[in-house]
Amino acid sequence: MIEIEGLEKRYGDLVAVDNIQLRAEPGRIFGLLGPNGAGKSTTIGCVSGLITPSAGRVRVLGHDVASDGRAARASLGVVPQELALYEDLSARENLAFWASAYGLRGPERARRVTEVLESMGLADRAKEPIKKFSGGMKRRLNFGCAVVHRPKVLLLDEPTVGVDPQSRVRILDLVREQVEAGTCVLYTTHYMEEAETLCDELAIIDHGRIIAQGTLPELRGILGEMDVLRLGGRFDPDAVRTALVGMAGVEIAALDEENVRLAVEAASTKLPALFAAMAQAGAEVRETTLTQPNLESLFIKLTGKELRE
Amino acid sequence: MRYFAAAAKKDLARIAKDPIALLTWVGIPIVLGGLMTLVSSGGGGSSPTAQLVVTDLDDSLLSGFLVGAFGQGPLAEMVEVEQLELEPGRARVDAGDVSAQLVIPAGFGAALLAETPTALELITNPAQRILPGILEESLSMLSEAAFYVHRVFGDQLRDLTQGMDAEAGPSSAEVARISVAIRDSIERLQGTLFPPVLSLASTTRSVEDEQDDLEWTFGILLLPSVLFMALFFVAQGLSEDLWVEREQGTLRRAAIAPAPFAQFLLGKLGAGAVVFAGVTAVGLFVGCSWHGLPLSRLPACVLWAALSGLVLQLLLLTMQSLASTRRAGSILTNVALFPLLMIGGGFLPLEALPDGMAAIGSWTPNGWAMIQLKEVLLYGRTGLAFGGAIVVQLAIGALLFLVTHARLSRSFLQA
Repeated sequence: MIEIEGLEKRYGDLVAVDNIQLRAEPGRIFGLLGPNGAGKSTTIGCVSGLITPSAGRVRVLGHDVASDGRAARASLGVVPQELALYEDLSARENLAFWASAYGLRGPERARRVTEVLESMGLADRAKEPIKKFSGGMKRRLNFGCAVVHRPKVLLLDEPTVGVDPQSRVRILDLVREQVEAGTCVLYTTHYMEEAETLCDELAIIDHGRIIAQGTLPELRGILGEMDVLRLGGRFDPDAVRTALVGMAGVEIAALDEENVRLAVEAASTKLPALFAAMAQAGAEVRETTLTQPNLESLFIKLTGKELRE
Repeated sequence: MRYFAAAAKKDLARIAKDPIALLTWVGIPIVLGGLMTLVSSGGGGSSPTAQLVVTDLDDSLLSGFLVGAFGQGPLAEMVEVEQLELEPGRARVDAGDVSAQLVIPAGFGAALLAETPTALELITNPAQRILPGILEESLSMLSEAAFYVHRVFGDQLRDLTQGMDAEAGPSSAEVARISVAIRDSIERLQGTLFPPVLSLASTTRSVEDEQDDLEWTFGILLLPSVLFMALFFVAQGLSEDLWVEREQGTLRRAAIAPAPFAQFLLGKLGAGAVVFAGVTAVGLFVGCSWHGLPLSRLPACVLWAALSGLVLQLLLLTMQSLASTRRAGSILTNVALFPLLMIGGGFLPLEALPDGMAAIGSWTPNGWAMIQLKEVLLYGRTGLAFGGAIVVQLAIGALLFLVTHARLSRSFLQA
């Protein structure tokens, strides 16, 4: 279990993480969803003990990371965003070394290394230097190094960034296997689909603050049944705002001279009225996209910007 | 401590998988040392000698003295004299077989005694430049010497020459008279040439003095320099691994593992110790065998050199940890490495440096360590002073380790 209370990390005037509160349970995946630079990796760094928080408390299985760091770290497995492997060593040597770092010795270590090699699908190339591996194979080994000591808590910091679709599916399966074994997982991503399909509970983070938190149905509840309508073209923002204000079930999420984003209730029934209002405002609409409610539309509703921006 | 062993094993495996790097670290000092030895010893071959053909057309006592002078003292090592007639001698010069031909004209001795002008003819080999130059200079010095000898012993030489020219040679009475005259001249000059300002000082020589007098060749003195140059390059290469580990993310992963990070760092030093000891053992074994130094001193030398290598590695690790980028780290360590090598006797033995520079160099980390190594390697001194030096090295190493560990834990990892 991971408990985070009032976590804060400042770098001078910059607030990287601002009053984060969350609780991740065993056998469940807690997702931290947010754009790049939102504070996800800083949060992971504070949980792993690599970064010293400016304020707040982090506990892993009841062990305070600040005051009882060694016990807390012993229960943790961390899959970093970037690869953390010795390129000139073999997969077996890498796994054996990291197993030693987590206290595994002798036959137990050898047995566990073999198990992980097999579960990662790397057993047949265990003795090759990993610099000969493909990117996907390295990603799997990177994951293997984090779970070789059977951690009770697993931190994954955007483990699928830059990974081919096949390896991504394999990594997500490996995460689910860990959860089925009772592991508590804290998973950061900026891929909305990944968070929706994988996570049991989610916190949406932006500028270091959690702006929404809950299970997927709970988050959808915040959004209601509103669709997201994106319009591209040339707009007079003031005229568009005047034309749309007062339309029932329509909220302006973002508006500038080239883009309009709207949260619209039952958008398909309102499209004719919307286009008429836009025409009246002198808008020149060249592109229209209608999206069903999802985490991204929630993010847009809450922040006025897209998740990948 | 099992994690320390695993970390050391891991780093040794990584070093072993990049043998080119290790060979480069060790190879550069060996090549430089070899070249410097060759330059200083002239390649180890015999010194070149000038071949001089002498044609003595005078055949007098004084011309005989002149020819004989080339076979005396240091000139004898530089000049090989062969007496030939005029034409065969000229033919040897023309064929390029000899450096020069000296022709002593008839009447040379008489002219010298009469103080009338005379000329020696030196025909040089145009294909050679240095050796004929040496002969010309030597001949000029001999002419100067002849002038002063004539000033002092002119009368006696004249008498002796006349006596020699007589059919029966000089009588015993003449020889005695000339000898007494020469002795009188020397006694007269003694007050001028040998003023009684010289005093005899009596000192008792110690064993150390006698050992100091042992003739160490340049090659022997250069051996510790080459060794420390290699240790410095190896230490530099090993210290850069900090950046490799940081860039490939393994340093962070090590920092968040429950095993103490200090053991991870100690593992690096453990691997370094093995490399330092290996390089030192092989280098000193070859060096001692080559120069005939006792192999019984090897264990102490290897211990000291490996310990010194570790301290150099820690010094450079500390510098790397202070840098903000890999490039800055490289510049910082290079800025320290090359001046330290230069002034600390890494490129040339301290004995070959100017006194002031050698005095400063003896206080540099490598210079001081090298002096201690020479004490053991050349003189076999492994007593209390050697033990004290080990304690000092360990204390410096411990201090540097603490600084490096603190830097890595706080700033370097979180940057």
